[in-house]
Amino acid sequence: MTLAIFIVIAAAIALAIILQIAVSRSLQTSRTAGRAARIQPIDVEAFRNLVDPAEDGYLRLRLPPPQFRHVRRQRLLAMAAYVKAAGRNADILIRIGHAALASSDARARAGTLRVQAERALGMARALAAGGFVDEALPLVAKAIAAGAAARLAALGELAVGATLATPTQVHDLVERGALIPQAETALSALWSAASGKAGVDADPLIEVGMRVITSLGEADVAKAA
Amino acid sequence: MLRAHSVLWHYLWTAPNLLLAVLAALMWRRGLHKRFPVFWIYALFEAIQWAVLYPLDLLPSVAPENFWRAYWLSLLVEALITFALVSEIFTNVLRPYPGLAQLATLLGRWTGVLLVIVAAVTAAYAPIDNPLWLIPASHILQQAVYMIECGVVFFLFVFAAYFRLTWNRAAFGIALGLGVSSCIHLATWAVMANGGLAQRRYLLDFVNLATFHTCVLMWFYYFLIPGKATAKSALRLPEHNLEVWNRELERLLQQ
Repeated sequence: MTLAIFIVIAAAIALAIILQIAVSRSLQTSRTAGRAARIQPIDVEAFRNLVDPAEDGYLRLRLPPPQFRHVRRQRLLAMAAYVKAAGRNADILIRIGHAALASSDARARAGTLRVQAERALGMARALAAGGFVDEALPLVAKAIAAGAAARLAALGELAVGATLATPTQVHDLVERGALIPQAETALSALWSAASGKAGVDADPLIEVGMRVITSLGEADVAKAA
Repeated sequence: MLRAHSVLWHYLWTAPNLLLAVLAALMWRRGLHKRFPVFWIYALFEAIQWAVLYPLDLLPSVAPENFWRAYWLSLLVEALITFALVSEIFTNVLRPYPGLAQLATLLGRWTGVLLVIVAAVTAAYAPIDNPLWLIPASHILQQAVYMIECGVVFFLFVFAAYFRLTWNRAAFGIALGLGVSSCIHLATWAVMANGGLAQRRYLLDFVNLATFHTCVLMWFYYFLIPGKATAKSALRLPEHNLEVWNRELERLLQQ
């Protein structure tokens, strides 16, 4: 039983440390906005003066040894404080860089998919205007699916390598209010048309595709979440 | 209330496993199973394990030996999946840091070896105090598995905290759930394996079931509720500082 007590104590300590790390990480995340404000300004001229050997040499000549030792100790402590502040600033900058990288990745991916959606819709519009409705419809479907994928990418929910949203994902986005409901209806109509079950008019569908793309920049991501 | 086969006991054994099945389905729908394939398998396995063991426990026609045999077998598979899951989290956390990955792998391996030795030694000291040897053997196996799991997850947390690594939200959620469950399960199984609380072991069962339920809810939270958008904190840096820093950096480079 003694062994069990040791294991229980070790497990409790491990749990406490894991929870402490988890809590400190959560606090750090929630304080992201205040990170930049925590950067401490450093007086570079003063620091340069502190590390200058000529300054040390001058003080050594001018001051009696006990006083010089005292001043030197103070200067070294000040130097250490400067280095510590610079290290802390570097840590903050790295964290800011990570946050910016993660957010710009998601935004860049969403932007690329949006451009793809716009391109597909433009081609669909040109084909429909030229009377090639059958060729235009798959492109409208592609534009809507790419638009939905762009929304997923912006939310950080798009799988790696995916460029189009699946019907289930479109349905889910519509249910969460992250995509206009007409998107799902239009996709259903397009699939019916593709399977030859029903004839459809391309113009209203292209209109829906355009509204999907336009809404990408407007919808409130927080609401969708 | 706190008895085996009470309503609470049924709930605590059933609910988290059903929730895991739901989580696995949601992960599939959202394509998250491609990002965390081992966790997806783990969630599915836990649900299947429950679907097999729960009826075996309830059916009077099933002999206790058969239940414990099935339980023992499922433990072995669960242990393998859990270790693969820990490895998946390691990979996920260290992927953006190739420079640290080598060091982490080396330290992780040595930690693993050390934990296996400690687990084997502590298992050797545990008593076999039941005529049906599968019961204490299962307890000892659980103690050994959770000791290794707890140690490795603890190492991951400390390593990531020391190097201030940025965690992916879902990976952090999985690791936190595993960390909490492995620590508490280690403590309870150690007490059971070493003959503690002989007449009140059902209390430890409740602690285990409740812990697992909490961890499943934690996984739901981290997988399905998006984190705060860090992009919105688009951090306005004090430009004058950066200017000074840049100037000094250029001066150093020119030296």
